[in-house]
This record gives sequence, structure tokens and C-alpha cells, in this order.
Amino acid sequence: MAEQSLTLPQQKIKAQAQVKELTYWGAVRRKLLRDRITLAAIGLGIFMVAITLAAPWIAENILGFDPTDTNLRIRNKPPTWATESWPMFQEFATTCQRGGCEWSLWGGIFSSSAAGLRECFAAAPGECHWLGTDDAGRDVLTRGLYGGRISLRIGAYVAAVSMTLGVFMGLISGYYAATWVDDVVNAIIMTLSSIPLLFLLIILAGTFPVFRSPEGLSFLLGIFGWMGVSRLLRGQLFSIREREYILASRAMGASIWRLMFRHMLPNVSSIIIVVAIFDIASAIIAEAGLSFLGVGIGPPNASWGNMMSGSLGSFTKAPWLVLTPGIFIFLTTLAIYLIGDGLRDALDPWIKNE
Amino acid sequence: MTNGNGKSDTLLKVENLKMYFPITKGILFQRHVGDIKAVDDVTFEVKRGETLGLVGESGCGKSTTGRAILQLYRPTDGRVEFEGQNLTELKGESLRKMRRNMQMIFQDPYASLNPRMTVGSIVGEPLEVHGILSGKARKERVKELLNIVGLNPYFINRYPHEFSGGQRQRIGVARALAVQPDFIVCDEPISALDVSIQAQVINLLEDLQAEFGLTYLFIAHDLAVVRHISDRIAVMYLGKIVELTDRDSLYKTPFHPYTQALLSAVPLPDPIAEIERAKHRIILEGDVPSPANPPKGCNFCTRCPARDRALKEKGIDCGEVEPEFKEVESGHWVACHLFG
Repeated sequence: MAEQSLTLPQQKIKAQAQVKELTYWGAVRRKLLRDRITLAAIGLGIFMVAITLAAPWIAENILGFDPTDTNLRIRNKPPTWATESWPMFQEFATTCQRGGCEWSLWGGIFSSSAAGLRECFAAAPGECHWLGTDDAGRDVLTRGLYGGRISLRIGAYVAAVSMTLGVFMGLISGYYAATWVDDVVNAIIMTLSSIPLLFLLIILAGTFPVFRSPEGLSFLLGIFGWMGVSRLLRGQLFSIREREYILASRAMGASIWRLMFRHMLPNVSSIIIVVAIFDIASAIIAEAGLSFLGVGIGPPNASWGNMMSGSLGSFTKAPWLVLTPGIFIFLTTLAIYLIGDGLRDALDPWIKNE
Repeated sequence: MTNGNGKSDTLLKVENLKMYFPITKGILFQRHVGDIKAVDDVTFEVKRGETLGLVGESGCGKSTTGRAILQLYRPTDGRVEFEGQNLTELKGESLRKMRRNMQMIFQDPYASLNPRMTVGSIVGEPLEVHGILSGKARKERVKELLNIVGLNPYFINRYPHEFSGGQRQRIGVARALAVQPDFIVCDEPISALDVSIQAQVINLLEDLQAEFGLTYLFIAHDLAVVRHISDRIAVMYLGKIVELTDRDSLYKTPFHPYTQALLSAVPLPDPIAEIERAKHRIILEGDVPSPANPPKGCNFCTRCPARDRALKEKGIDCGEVEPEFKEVESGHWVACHLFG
């Protein structure tokens, strides 16, 4: 009976079915390819990763500087192309402070900047500081690129550590909801999250120099950063484990691992991916904050955080020292957040952007 | 008792099955303060190839019985014998292997399919779990199964949300059929469907039973549907089976006052007959007592219209003495002081 009654619609559907059957990841890719903002963010993210990964090559062949070479004769110099226009800009700023802005100065600022840029483009490696020098005469752009290596590395490490821990603990406590296992996990989560993290990190990193290396710092941030994911997953899994499809696969004879990794995990996978990506961004920011406070990555190694902390006092005199790492952090985290946002939509099978 | 297949073999034997859910109090140290007696001392048999209907109001323990039989909840007490093997003693791997022989179809087709899996992997999963088929052979089998339940095999890469309720329930049926089980618990498989779709799914289940010699425990609260599909019917009230007999004798001569009330509530399609019928309708008073605190004596005594009659005729106070579940006629079991 069943076969007969379906012969007709079957014939009709067949034609279009073969054209548009998509697997889950096929649909995700198609949705991502149609999302221009996410595509742009992915482009920006790849660009940031590429320039930081290629930092040694860029520093040697294009910029011609070493990130740790000091030269005390050129401390706090503005970008080479702005050698003439920077004093003019400062003069303009002074006139504004006195009351009347001297707008006519901008003509000179523009023309000398343009001339400086032209010279810089023509210059050989090692002759032009594109973004000026810091208080030890080191090239800021080179240090910014090198700092990105450390920041992104820390971001990736922290995300890896905290996701592994967080997903594992979350799955365990979600699966064993309302048993002593869940109570234990919950107690650990509560204890760890009631510690004032900033102070603990300052104390630990200040006392043990091992935590001031990128690996040590990521370990610390990861160990104390997984509770959010766990708690999020635990809550989600509490509702998921009561769904009938979980019962259905138990009735079918599925093992605990299958239930956890084939049924429960995929239903929270989009949350995990999004949280992991946001985790990278917040780890970058956390590293910057800790280095800024002087307990993270120490000089002479460059990181975006310690570049900022070393130069905050001279913000009005040499704003490029703060703006460079600031803009690097901003662009990287912006790209990461936008990618996370786009992925969240793309991974949801209910959202179809036809 | 014989059935259509001419076998008189007992497939499933449930003896004194009890399923209590503990009520606890306290935050850190949980004190056990009572039990919700969802299923309280239930005994019945299911014969090979038959359909046993299990009816009762919401919350009377029908679904819990089904789940306790399949060991999805571990019963508090009692035996569940499946082909001579006591399931309540099985654990771990041996229980997992046993599950191949008994499957379940769920009530809500929207909740019982994993939204992140394709139809192909949902239907193919039992085959994978029990290591029956793999790769291309599994895919072919899944397509075949989809065809059997009346779905287009080309839907194999689609996700559950792309289907209607009836189609989703067919996917659930295909999943249950995948490992060729002997016994299927149908837990209100049509309650969530439109009336027009209900008939389709019921017919599908009947066709499959005829084709594969399946045995069903059919849980429902729709008396008309149960009458249509069942060979024998058990009526449950507050965790206990109050009456168990074959379909025709249940509908013709219901013994238990609760069954009588339940049957008198079924509306008739003929409006004139319905008016006449409504005059004789037995309307039960009050609510179903809490299963955490069931009444003393007979479970049904708080609402029973025949309680006085039992006291007068038999001299038994239903609020004191619990009736025995016994066979008062051949194959007709009742738990009531008025009979036997």
C-alpha cells in the first residue's frame, strides 16, 4: 500500500532532488559563501594571520629591521614619511588648544606627508620606519608584526586548552545530570569561577617566571578559562539529554560515547565553535591586559600588550606607539568576532539563506 | 490463546513490574521522602505476532511501562522476560546486544529525530551500532527501508526538519525496523499527528506487522485506534492494569467500572445514536489521585461508581482491601471485587 501511494510524488520529486541535495557541510559552505560580511571578516582574519606568520620574512626583506635592535639615537621618532608633517600637526594641535584652529596648516601636512610616502615607497629596506620607532629606537611596525605572532599563538593555545577542558567537563556533567558526577564538576566550576582571576594571574605570573612565556601564560588562561563553556554546555545538554531522540538512540542500543559524541555534541557544536572563536579573541585581549600590567610577556619580546604598556605615558608625544598595537588588536578581534557570528548562522541548519 | 499466525508462543512476559521514581528532599544530602509509583505491580504477557493495546488516561503509567520493559528506565522490581530471558538482570553490553530484538516508536516525531543527523544516518544508525552493515550496503539497506515505509529514497541526505509530521513518523518507523526486531513498543505513535495522517501510519504499522511478523505493544489513549489495531487490550489506571482481555470482549462486555466509564465516553459518529448514548454516559467524579500517594485498597475506589455495590453485594470495603488481578473468564483478567 505504502509503495503504491507514493509512486506518483516520488517521480515528481526525483527530478529536482538530484539537483539540490546538499550535505550539512555543503549547506554550511554555501551559506558562508553568500554572507559577504563574514567573507570579508575571513579575508581580514587570513590577512592578519598571514602577515604575522610571515613577520620574519617581511621584517628582513621589506622593512629591513630587527624587532629587538635598539638604536638610542632615533628614540620615539615619528613615521619616517611624517618627519616633516608631524611637527606641523603638533603645531596645529597647539593652536586648537589655544582656541583657534589653524586649518591652513593642513595643506602643508598633506603635501609633506605625500612627499614622504613617495620617498618611503622608493626607499630600500632599512631606510623607512613606516610606523615610527619606540622609546628604544626599535621599528614599531616590525614589533607589531612580531607581537601578533605571540598574541595569535596565545589565542590559539588558550582556545585549545579551555575548549578541550570545557567541552569534556561540560559533556560529562551534562550526560550525568543530577548525579554526584555532575555535582563534583559543578563544585569545581563554582570554586574556580569564584576566584578573582585577575589577581590570581598577577600573583602567579609575578611569582613564577615560567608563566610569563607564551605557553605558560596560555596554560594559565586556559586552566582558568574553561568554566564558561562548561556551564553553557551543561545547561544546553540538560535540555538535550531529555529529548526523545536521545532516548531513541538508547533504546536502539547506542553506547555512552556514541550518545555523547554523536548525539549530544553535534547538537551543541555550533555553540562550541562560536565560543571557541570568541575565546581566541578574549585570550588576545587578556594577554594584552596582562602584558600591559607587566605580568605577561616581558620585554625584549614584543607582544601587543607590552607594546602598549611601554608607551602609554607618551601618548600625546608619540601616539603611533599606542595606536599601532591598538589597531592590530582591534582588527584581529573584529575579524574573529565577525567570523564567529557568521559561523553561528551558517552552522544552524534551520537558517536557510536562499 | 492463538493469533493470526497460528503460534501460541509467548514473546514477552511481564511479572509484577514496578517502576517507582524516588522523591527526594534536601540540597546536599538528599533524603528519600517517598516514591512516585508510576507503574505499580503490573503483570501481563504478549504473544508472538499479536498487538497488545495499552490504554489509559494521561499520566497513568502507560509510557513508563513501555520504557521500563525496554529497560530505558531500570525497573524498581519485577521481571521482564523476553524470549525467556530476564531483561532486568541484563547489564551493559549484553543488554545493548539484546536491544536489537526490541525497538521503540516514539510519540513526538518532532522530538525523536536528532536534528543534526540526516535521514540516512538516523535510519542507518541501528545498523551501525549493532555492526550489521556498513558502507554502501548500509546505504542500500537504508534506501530500501525508506521505500518500505513509503518515503522517497532520495531523501537520504535530508534533515528531519525538512519533513512533515507524518513523514517524520515514517522515518521513526524505518529506524525501528532497521535491525529487524521481533518486538516494537509503539509509544502513542499517532497522538501527535493529524487525523488524516494517523490512518496512514496505522495502516503502515499493520502492513509491516503482516509482512515481518512483528509483535507490538501499542500504547495509546485513543480507544477507537486501539480497537482497530489491537488483538488484546490492557486498561491501565494509576499505575495498575485494571482489565486485560481480547478486543471484542473488552468492547462488548467490559467488567471493570473504570473500563465501562472509559468506553462510555467514546463519542459515536452517528449524532442520533450519540444523543441516546449520552444519557447513559458514566461521568467519573473527582481527579486521578497522585501516584505519589495512591489511595488505600483499590486504586480506583475514590472515583468508583460501583463502590457501594461492592460493599452491599460482597461485603468488601474497596477502600480497605486491594482487589486481586485475576482471570474471571477465559482470557479475561480484571482487578475488581465485584468479579470473581
